[in-house]
Amino acid sequence: LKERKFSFVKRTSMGKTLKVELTVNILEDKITEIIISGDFFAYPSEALEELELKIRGKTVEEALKIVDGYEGRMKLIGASLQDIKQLIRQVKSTGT
Amino acid sequence: VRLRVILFETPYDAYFNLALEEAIYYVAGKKGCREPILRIWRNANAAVIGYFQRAEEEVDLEYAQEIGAAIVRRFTGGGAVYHDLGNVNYAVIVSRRTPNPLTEIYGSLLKGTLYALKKLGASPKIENVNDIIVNSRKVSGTAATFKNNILFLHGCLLVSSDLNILRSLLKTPKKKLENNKASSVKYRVTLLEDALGRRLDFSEIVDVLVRGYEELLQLKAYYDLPSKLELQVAKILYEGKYRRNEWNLERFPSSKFAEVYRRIDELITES
Repeated sequence: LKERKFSFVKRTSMGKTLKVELTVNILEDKITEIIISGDFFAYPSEALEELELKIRGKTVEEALKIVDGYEGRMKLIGASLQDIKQLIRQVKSTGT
Repeated sequence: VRLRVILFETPYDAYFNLALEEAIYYVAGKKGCREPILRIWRNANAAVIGYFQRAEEEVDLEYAQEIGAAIVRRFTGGGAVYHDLGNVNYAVIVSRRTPNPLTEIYGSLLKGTLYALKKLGASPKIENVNDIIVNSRKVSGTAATFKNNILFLHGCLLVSSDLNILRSLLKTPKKKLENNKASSVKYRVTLLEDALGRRLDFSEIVDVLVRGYEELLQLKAYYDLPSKLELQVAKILYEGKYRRNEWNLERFPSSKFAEVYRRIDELITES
């Protein structure tokens, strides 16, 4: 099996739920799918979808940089880019 | 300039109610919004989920089907809510040039609802940015968005909803329960009727909301219906988006709706 699915969830410091679901191609070490969901707010809302699209096909390290690139471009309320990065990083600690 | 109050609802078609919600905001964004708008409306039986949520995680889909509850995604973020006729929804739309739209929305606009609740004799407070609390329990959840100098805030007021259905229909993510002593929102909600210890009918809620926002905006209210354009846009959104599983149940299908917005923009340009 070359793909593995991960699902990480946290309750943010602002009391919201943030969930990041990832599908990782283990052979190529690439994220093939990412879904970020929860009861937070993102402005503009389209930016989150765009972020997900950009992460597809990238490694975890590349994905973290992409998330950093949204500083100042997407405002999150109830969650933060750090929260998203923390959950993406868990792919590494969980081990592929 | 007066406060335009829209009392138009389709309680038995939650999809249209939510389509109209976006339509009024969208038309305001394209055509401008000379007069602030306050819309008050109800759904009879629906689970309404936030833009970024996954339906299957928030709603017991089997139970929803069993009781015939509609599952509708709204175009704003935040959490899932249950709507029955004991829940009153309100939306506020104003045109305002501001560097901090969210501060303006939650710090200023939301006060209209506080004024309304005070008129009922409650002592409401804002908590967690966007929740309204009475007697340390949540009675109103709100969500907001903004674009083109148009600020949009909507929320629901738990007046006399069936909390047993709410608890069966909405799932609580385990994390919420484990990590928070206050636990999830729905475990600390209360009905306005219980908080005040008396019956409240819809007209009384409408009355205080209208007066609350009149006071906040310092405007006289008048009652209006959605315009022909707003209804036409709502119909396109309803058919192409809000009635569809691709929007309500799947996540992030926004690219699928490009055609819907192209048609809407065409219609608005022609009008």
